[in-house]
Amino acid sequence: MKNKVKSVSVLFIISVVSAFSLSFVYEKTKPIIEEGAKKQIEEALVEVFGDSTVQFETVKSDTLWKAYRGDTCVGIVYRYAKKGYSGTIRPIVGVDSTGRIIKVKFPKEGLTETPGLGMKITEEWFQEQFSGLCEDGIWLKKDKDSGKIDAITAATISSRAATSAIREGLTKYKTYLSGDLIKECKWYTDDIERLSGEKDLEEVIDDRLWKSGEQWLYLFYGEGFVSSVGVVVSVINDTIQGIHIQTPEEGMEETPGCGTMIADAAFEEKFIGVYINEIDELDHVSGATVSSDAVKKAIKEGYKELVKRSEK
Amino acid sequence: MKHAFLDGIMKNNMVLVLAIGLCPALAVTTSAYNGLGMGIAVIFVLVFSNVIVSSLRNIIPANLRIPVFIVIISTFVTIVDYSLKAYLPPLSRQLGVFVPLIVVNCGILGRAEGYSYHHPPHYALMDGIGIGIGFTLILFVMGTIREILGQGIWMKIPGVFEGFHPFGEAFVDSSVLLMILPPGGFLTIALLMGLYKYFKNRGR
Repeated sequence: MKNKVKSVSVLFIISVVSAFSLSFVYEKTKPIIEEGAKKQIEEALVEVFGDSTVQFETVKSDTLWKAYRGDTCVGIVYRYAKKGYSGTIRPIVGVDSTGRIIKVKFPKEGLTETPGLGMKITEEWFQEQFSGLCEDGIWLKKDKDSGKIDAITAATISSRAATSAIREGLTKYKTYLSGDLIKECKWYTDDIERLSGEKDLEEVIDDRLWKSGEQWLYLFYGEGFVSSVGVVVSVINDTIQGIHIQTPEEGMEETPGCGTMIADAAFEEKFIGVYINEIDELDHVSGATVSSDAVKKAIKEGYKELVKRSEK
Repeated sequence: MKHAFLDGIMKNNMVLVLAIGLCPALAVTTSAYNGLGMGIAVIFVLVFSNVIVSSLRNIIPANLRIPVFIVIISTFVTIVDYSLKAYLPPLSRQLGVFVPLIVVNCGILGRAEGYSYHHPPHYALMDGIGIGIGFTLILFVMGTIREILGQGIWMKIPGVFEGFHPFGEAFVDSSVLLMILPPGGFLTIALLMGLYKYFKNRGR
């Protein structure tokens, strides 16, 4: 009996001492741990949004944040989980108000992909591929034609999971972008806006022809050396007011260093103020004759379409 | 007393000779930095649990010793876990679940049961430091071997230091991936145990 009492009291006293010392350490470290976790999230938010002047408001803890500048929502940051090769992949993604990705980050914490293979999704070159893409570009090149993402050699499953996590998250959370700010995100969306002088446009033909008073805007493709080259043209009374030629970043696929020179601002400027009928007399970019012709052809053919429509 | 310290490092090395605490030794040694961090955490827990167990050795009833050891060890492990989280978050994230798992590291329980419970506190202290340093060294060596062969870098500290390239930067791409995967841990541990036995028996 005496032994039993001794046993119980020893274990009891040791447990009490242990509990008290633990609660002391817990009280001391708790604020520091919470502070650290908060700071880490804030840093990640600023990093993927690429802008430290915005305020983040938590919509769903650890999952969704809205970014505000003043009273306007200028984008969102979200996390979305998807099963990878081993364990889950949970990227942090920054999205601007048009639904375009600013930057993504795969935090290494809790990531259990194979070291040296799947883990490569955390490498800078892989993450950078997503910047500037809209939904239809966030596919592996081998999975969909519109995809812009190169998979990691020998780590297709991880690459695909990472890509799907970003895309599915975007599909789910983009509704949080304030309604009127969501525009259809295409390579020429910004250019149409810029060339029109941000006036309200009337869409005459879907995604090809726009009108605002005297001014007409059209998009047309010409067959280049490698594949088609897109051109956005703004005209008033048969005179070219502004032009934008698709750049390699926007998906133009002409020969790098030769055909791609047609996207230089110097070449675009040559067209400004020129009558549509006179563009044949403009100089080609040397070394890119076929690509230059593609641009001219796109301008002329597109104009023919425009005339047909405007006569109706 | 000196023996208690020195024996712990080599003659009673936790991994090479006693072959206890192999679980963390295999799991965290994917890099030298991780091995070092785990080792230091174990030194801390081992020293304190050894000293406490040995000071209380006359009070702890023999039939209740294991639960008491576990309470003492888990207290110190939790202290280490919180402190790492607060003051060294990157290391804490790297070591992940292995810090809480020190509780069931049989090395620590083994020293409490096998040594501290029968020796006075100052011996237990020396044993704790010795065994702890021996464990840290072996984890560091394992981490070094696996990191260099498996990733081609050495002493990479996430977010702080990019690491050395002992075989040149080109080796990073052609490194032996197997070494940082679980089989590499077994290979390394077997190799080191074999080497140790070879040099120990050579004199005879």
